[in-house]
Amino acid sequence: MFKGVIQKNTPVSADLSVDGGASGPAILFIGFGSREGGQSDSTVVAPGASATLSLTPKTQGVFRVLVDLSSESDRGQLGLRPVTPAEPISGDTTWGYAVV
Amino acid sequence: MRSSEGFTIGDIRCSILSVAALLVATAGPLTAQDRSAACREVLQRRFPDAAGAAAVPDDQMCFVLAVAVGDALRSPLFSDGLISPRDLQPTSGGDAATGGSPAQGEPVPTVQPMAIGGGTVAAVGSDAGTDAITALTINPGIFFTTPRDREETARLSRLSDVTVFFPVNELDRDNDGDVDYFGARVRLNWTGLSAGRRLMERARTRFAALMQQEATDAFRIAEVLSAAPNVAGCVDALLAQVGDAGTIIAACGEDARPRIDAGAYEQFRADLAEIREEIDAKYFGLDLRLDVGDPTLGAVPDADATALTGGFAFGRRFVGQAHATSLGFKGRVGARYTDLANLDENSFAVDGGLAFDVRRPVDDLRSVTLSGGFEFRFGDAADQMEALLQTDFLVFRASLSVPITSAAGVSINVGAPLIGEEISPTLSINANWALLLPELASLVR
Repeated sequence: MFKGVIQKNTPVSADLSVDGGASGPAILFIGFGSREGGQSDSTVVAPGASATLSLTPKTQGVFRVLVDLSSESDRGQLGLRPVTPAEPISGDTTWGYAVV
Repeated sequence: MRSSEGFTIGDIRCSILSVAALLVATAGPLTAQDRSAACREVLQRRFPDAAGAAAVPDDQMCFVLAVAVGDALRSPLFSDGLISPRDLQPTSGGDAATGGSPAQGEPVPTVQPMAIGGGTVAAVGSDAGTDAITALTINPGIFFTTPRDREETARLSRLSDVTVFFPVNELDRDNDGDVDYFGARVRLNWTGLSAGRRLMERARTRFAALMQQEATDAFRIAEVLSAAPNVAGCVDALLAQVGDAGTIIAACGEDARPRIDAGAYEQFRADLAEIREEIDAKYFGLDLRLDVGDPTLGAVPDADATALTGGFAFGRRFVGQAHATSLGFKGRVGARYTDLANLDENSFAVDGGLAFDVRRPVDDLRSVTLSGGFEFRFGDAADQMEALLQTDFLVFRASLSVPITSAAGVSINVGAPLIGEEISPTLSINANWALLLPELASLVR
């Protein structure tokens, strides 16, 4: 889902909290792509835990947040500071942003 | 030829060309502004919730729209069910630790802990008759992590758990006021997340490559939109995923269809599946056991004892293809000290086992698992004390575990002594469930 616009050189942080009742760990990815190349980071988030990944896109390009939950019925909370406040998610989720 | 006003035909032609050149010169910037405005209008109409779009400069508006269009077409590729979510879920570590008790649920128990907690209720048949044993497991790591400490939380959830178990049908058979038998187990898995680190790196590399592809495509589509004869029609055609290039070209001016490498997305999802499989494909750790009371549940008189067992446990699953039937083995070796309560006798013994299993994933959390193996214990006890000290035996064990739901299952387990006639054969039917106390997870938030 396209969520909006990020100003380049702005540090952005993806925050994921996985519900304690989730059936297994989730994987959180963030990535940025430009003409020059791509960069990404990821982490595993256990049920009941939270994680934050940060990245600063420095040029015009595309930014993406991807959450891969163990089960489509698993739930959590995802936000991307400072653009998108935390909101509930259910199942695998991906958010796209334009960096200008 | 010259007119009466003194203008020649050539002068008129020159004037017309000059005016045309002036119009062309001024029409370019106006058209670009119009198209930026069109991109802004289409973005607001198609993606009204896009944050920060209002502040985007005109000259970058078509790029933002191109990213939004590309996102709409690519997002499903990350989650469209080419790989079932249930295939991503590891199946190990899903049961309470009942190893060494009559309710033992695996031929050789794993030391992979439960993420939060769980339990088992076992109906046990042995020389002592029928009994019921309950085991409860909790992962203490959930008490020592904070939401901000993500790596520690992920590691601790795979590091250790604690199990207590006890018979529930006759806690005090001899009416002496004490529980006849109970046990505790601690599982420590040192392997943790390290097994998945290499695959995580691979997935990150693939994700970064996908991001570069996505950006390159966005810049290309932005250029097309900036010159499109009909921006709204172009976006409509792209989002409708019109397959006819002619339709796209008519609206966009050229073939602006996104260049999506579906194979790369499929490989990325496959990497995610392998990450989860690999995380739990192997383990190495400690298996610590405490037994207090009569482990024979009354079958052998005066078998009351306190026993401590400590050993190393290891296991490896060979996942040739993610989500497919896989083979694995589990081993354990350690030492056991037993001190009889009613007699002045104690012993040391070597305690261990080796088992193989076949696993077929069928559920998010669980698999059908068929396993078989051998457990042994040999020590320094005199022959007449072997039954009391429950030592010097070789037992064949087999187990069939079948899931009921994503968090519950049933296992049928048998133990048949091959060496050691004083050791009771056992049959147990275990009802297992995971995440027994989900509210415990909220304590770490």
